Amino acid sequence: MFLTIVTITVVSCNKDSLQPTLQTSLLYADAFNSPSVIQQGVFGVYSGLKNGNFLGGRAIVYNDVRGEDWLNITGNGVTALGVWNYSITSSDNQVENTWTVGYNTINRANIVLAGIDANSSLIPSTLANQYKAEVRFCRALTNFYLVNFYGRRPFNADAGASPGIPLRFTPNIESSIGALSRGTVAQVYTSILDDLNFAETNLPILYPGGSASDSNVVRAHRNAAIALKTRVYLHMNRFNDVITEANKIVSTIAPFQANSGVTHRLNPAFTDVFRLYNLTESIFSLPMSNTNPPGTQNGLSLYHNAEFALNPNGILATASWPTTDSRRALVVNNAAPFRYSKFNDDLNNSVPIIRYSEVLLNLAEALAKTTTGVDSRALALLNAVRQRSDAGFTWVPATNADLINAILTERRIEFLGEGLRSLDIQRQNIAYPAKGSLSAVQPTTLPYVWPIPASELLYNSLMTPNN
Amino acid sequence: MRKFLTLFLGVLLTASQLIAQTKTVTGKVTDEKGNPVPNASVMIKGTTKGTTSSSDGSFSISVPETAKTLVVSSINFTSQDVSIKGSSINVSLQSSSSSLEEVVVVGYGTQKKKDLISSIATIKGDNIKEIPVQSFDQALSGKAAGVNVSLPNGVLNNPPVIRVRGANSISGSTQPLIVIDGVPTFQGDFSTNASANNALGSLNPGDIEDIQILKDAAASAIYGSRAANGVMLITTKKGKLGKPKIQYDFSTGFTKPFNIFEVLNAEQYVTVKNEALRNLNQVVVTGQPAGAPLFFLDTINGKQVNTNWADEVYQTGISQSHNLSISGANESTKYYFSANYTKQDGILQTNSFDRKQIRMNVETKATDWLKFGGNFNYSRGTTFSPSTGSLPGSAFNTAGSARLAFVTAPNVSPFAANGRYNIIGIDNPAQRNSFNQIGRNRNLINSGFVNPVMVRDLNIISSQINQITANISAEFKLAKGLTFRSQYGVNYQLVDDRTFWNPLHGDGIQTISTADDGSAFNVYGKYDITNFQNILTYDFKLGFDHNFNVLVGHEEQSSKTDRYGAKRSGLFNTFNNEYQGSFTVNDNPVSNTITENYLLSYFGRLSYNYKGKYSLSANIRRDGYSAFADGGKYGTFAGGGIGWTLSEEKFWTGGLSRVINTFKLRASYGQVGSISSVGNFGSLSLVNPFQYGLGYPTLSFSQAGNKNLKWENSKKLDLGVNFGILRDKINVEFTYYNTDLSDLIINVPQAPSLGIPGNTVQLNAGAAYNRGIELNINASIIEKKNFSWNASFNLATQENKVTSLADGVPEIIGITGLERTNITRPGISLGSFFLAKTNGVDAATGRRIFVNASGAEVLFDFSNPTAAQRWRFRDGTVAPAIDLGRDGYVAGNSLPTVYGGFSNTFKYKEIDFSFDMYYSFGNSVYFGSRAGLLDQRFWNNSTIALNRWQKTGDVTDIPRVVFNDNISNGSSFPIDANLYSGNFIKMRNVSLGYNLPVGVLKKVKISGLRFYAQAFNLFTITNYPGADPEISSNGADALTPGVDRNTIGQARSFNFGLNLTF
Repeated sequence: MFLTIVTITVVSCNKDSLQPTLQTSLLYADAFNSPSVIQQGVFGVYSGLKNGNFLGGRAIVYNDVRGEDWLNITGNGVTALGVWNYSITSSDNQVENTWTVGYNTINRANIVLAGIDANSSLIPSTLANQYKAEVRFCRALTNFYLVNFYGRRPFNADAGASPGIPLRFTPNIESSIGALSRGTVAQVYTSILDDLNFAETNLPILYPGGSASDSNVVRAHRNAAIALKTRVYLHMNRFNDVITEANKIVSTIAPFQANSGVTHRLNPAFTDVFRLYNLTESIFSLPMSNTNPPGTQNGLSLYHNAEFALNPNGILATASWPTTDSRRALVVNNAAPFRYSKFNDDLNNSVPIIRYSEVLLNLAEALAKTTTGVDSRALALLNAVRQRSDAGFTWVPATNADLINAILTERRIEFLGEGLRSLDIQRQNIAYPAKGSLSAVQPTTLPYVWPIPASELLYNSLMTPNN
Repeated sequence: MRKFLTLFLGVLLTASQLIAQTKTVTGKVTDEKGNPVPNASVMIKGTTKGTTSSSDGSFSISVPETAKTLVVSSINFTSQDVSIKGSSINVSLQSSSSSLEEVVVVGYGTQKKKDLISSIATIKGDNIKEIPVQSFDQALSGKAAGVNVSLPNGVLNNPPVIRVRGANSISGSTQPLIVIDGVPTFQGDFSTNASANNALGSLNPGDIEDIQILKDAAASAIYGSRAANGVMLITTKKGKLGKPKIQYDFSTGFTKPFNIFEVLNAEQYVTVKNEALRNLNQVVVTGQPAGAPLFFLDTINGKQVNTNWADEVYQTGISQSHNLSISGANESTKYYFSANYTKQDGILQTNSFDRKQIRMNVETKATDWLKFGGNFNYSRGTTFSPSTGSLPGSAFNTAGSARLAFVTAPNVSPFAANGRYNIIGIDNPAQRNSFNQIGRNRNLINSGFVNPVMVRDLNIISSQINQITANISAEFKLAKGLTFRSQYGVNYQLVDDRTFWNPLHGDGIQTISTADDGSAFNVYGKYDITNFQNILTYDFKLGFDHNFNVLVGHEEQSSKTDRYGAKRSGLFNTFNNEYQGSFTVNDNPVSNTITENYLLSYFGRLSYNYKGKYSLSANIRRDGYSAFADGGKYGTFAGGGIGWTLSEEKFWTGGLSRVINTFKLRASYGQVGSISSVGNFGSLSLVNPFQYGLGYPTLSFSQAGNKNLKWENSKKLDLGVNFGILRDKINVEFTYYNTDLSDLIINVPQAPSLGIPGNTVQLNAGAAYNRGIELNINASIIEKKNFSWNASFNLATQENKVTSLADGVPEIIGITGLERTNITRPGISLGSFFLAKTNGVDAATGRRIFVNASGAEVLFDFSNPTAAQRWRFRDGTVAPAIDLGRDGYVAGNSLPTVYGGFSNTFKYKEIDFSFDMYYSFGNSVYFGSRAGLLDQRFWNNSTIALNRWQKTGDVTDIPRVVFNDNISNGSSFPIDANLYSGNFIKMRNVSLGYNLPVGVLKKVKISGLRFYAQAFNLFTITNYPGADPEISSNGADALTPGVDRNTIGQARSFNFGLNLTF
């Protein structure tokens, strides 16, 4: 009798146990039910960008080592060997992971956009628009990198007529067939610009805390959207638009600086840009810390100091990069392998996504390409970047072509290790030059861009390969 | 209470009366053939008084005049009640080895094996207790038909792969549910670091009485939603009637690796690698001309450097084991106490296992109607291990010692000339960090990953499981045949994992920021299973011939995991090698988790038997499981069977019955489930918190849930025949089984562009089947006074086929570490190999011949400086590069189709000899390590590279060596040239024992002493060129079986021991 009672008591008590409480996660349904969780969702999109397999590490590295200035040292297939030697295949982890993390970030963005709309009563509409602008900035940045890795041809090869990547605008939170065909490269760029224009309008001009505060570096602000547009237009050969955008944040004459919003300017000491992260030169950077590092085999310093070394016959061999240049002082060793210490910490180096010097050189290039002869403002911008690092060196190009070449050379020096080289090659639709034992890769050949990931081809029935 | 006192006094009174008058009874205990049975227990029924028979079977006992009955029992014989008539009694005991007479533990009860109509395999504890393993499950290979137990590697206390009638899940566990003394237990590797620690190592194999493996639905349906992979019921020992038995078992021995890869020595290495450089003929190291040698022999202290790295990684390990047990029983109380200590060193240096364990099992009849029982087991199992690279997911770990043993250049040395560790820049942190490589001696290029000796010496990785399993039970006899049993069990374990990575070399190195070098991780996990069950059983007869057994029960089980871990880095005092040491940085927590699940169940069983001829049994269970969404929490599972014992029929007479004395047909069918693939909150869509930089808290989408998730469905059909020949000298069991799996949970890959975390969502979508036959033969071939020979043979076939996956999921890729090795798609066997097709080596050019998707031969020449031109058709035109996704094909199946075992035991006078063989046929093994052994980066090569193509016309299967070529031999993507037959027959266990003769025993006053010698994995018959075809780099993962990639092989052990009984 007693036992029967015990049994009945226990059994009846434990029906509730079939509903255990979640301890460390939140239900998706509760992800937008207060202003603070909405904000956390927005930061979650940034952290998608920051993933070590994407802009927090590897995607930057890949865009560097595809270029001619690096040589692979360790022969390690896990750490970008196949990216470097153009042998990467559709099933390769590097091809798969970059795509996956990129689209995961886009989905995060789309989830937050929908979440804000569905809970618009919880926050003021200006804040809602600001959050949406931040998120769309992140989506634009992601689409930009993805289309440059996976688009069949660069925009400038055929005005964006080639297949680009699928454009996703809606949240995906459960199993779905979700087949979607590729937008053209031009459609992807249109979407990027659409997002950036919205961002420019709705982003804060300045977050509280002053121009050099953390928020104005690691969160998108108005000038960041403008800066990114200069890059995007450059990739579309829309030089006049580059100039229009750049002029919003670049003064007409030296010292060049942004006169509204975050007061961007070149930092006098070059190396400090990569040591003291919250400087106004850094327009948008991804923050790292000991407790929020890029992850194993993802950090830039690993690639610059172990997996790869500078190509002695690459930019190092350029006569116009003398040893008096403080950027050259970051080259470690006097003999091969030449390491590069722009990034020197596995855990703590923030990753610059766009710096003010790039805006200056984007503008200089656009000016040079829309004028004949040697445009004086273009030259002044170029020399501003150079002389910050080497006060004794002045570029003196004789012709328009010389000027353009000088600007492109300066970019290779200034952004060495920051993931711009492959982007610069592709937007010019020129061959990847030979390096080490590898021959040049022509723009018409398949290895010029990456293959579409095998898993996307397998599970997205409307996807088409790059061939 | 008063009642109890009265009873107690009554017992005392009776006892005092018993002492009053006595008489002496003598007699002899013999077996069916008249051989004496020594050490048989002879007890006066209803008392604790008794004696044992001597070596010639005779006994003498003084009994009270009032005593009416003696109970005579002995191990392996059926206990017998004998009336005391006169003063001389001879007792002939019936051997219980006649298997149909045995009682078998079934779910929540027992049944006579004779009445069984389900497929249950039994393994006796005594058959495995001496096998030198860490956990009992490692000793089960080949022991039972349809139960395939294979050892994936030689790492100590690494869980084996157990598959009952094939793999019955795609995404979840394929291991059976393991229940010890009625309570489901922890199973699998609970360590969070590289030191494997199987929770089942907490059970002392010497404590196991027997193991029942429930294979079909009639047997397993009572376990409902957890029965799809079969159920393994373990019963620990109880005391046996008779005087206290004290047993001490000791063994010691050594263990060695076998078939270590033969690699090039220093001279051969230099020759091959420099030849590869010449063949490449490109600048590899700046400043060195194209084709110039980069590898050179070195001498240290006048001696040529010729390092056999396997010597620095492997070892001969020694082991010892002590087992002490004290057991006994009288009419009312049974007890069994044991203590065990074992310490084993593995075949890898710094790999060790030790266990300290204590068990107490007690069962007592308090009154006629009340029985109490309790089992208590405490165990502490500790493992230390290097980073082996052999555990699932770790095949490509840079510090994985299995690979380091063969990849590291033989012309570099572990120590530099000055006696310090040979690494690049040992005194120069910047260099040390940026390279983090072994020193190069005279080589001009990278010559290895990490220095195996330095990481071996300085890193420490350990895992310790402290486990308590305890249960108490009470059984009430409510009426004749009606009992109520209630059992409460707790399994609790604390797992303490510690990792220390030294700050000078290896995994502890941050590439450049030396301030963070050296790390320690401590992870502490608490795991709790609480189980409460109540069972009402009613045994009754209607008339003389209708026998019923009815059981209804309730069970609830709560499982909780609470684990936290911390990491520190930046060690600044090198004398520290523990977490508490001097670190500068506190990193993010590691391995944190807190989760739980709950199972609430009701079940019932009806067994019916008519005249011992016709049997029927039906089971039903209703399970409620917390992980499923509301509305779908409950599922009902059922199974049943019928049996017809033809040999009980009247027509079974004459010659037929003399040859085939028992003959039974049986059939069963049922539907059970599996919930192992479902996460505890798998039905929910979740967001998880983290941070962006410092100070920006994030929430991001972390799991796409599925509210329609439910258990996986397994419909099991079983048709069998059991028969005994020649008075059950030979017992044969033949079974056909068919398991139809449906609603299999598939982590349905989603188009990655959807951006769903992990790119998968769990859906009940897949279907597959496992079918085959099982044959089990036990034979007492010779039973003579001085000589006996028992043999058993089992065989199972297994046809596995996936019949459907999910909509839009044509296939699932199986990944080994970094590479795609397996594929699962409808129409083929689970986890088949998916490889690039090759067709040998072109004799004219030495190039690897690949075959692309359209069947055209594509020759690969790594030495072409233009990547796009390396691939060429036979006619010399440039071909598209081979792409595994496009050009790969299903190259073979990875699951064995025939497997089993063959055991023999011989006894001649005092000598016993036995051997167990284990065999497996029908599958291939992907020898991925061969890709590494022929990789043309700096990696050392197998001696088969000596047969490489060198000049036009050379006919060989080893391509021309070209430096840095990682494609021709399968490193870049797997190729079918590395696929081999996995057939093998293995001598798993051989044992030779000698029992001290009875005469000697008497003189030294002990009841038994046996010495034995034993060998484990003595030899393997196989054509497989790797270390061992019984291997799995991915453990028990269902999607990637049969891969041998950078995994250490198994151990061969030799042991010597003794069993001493007082």
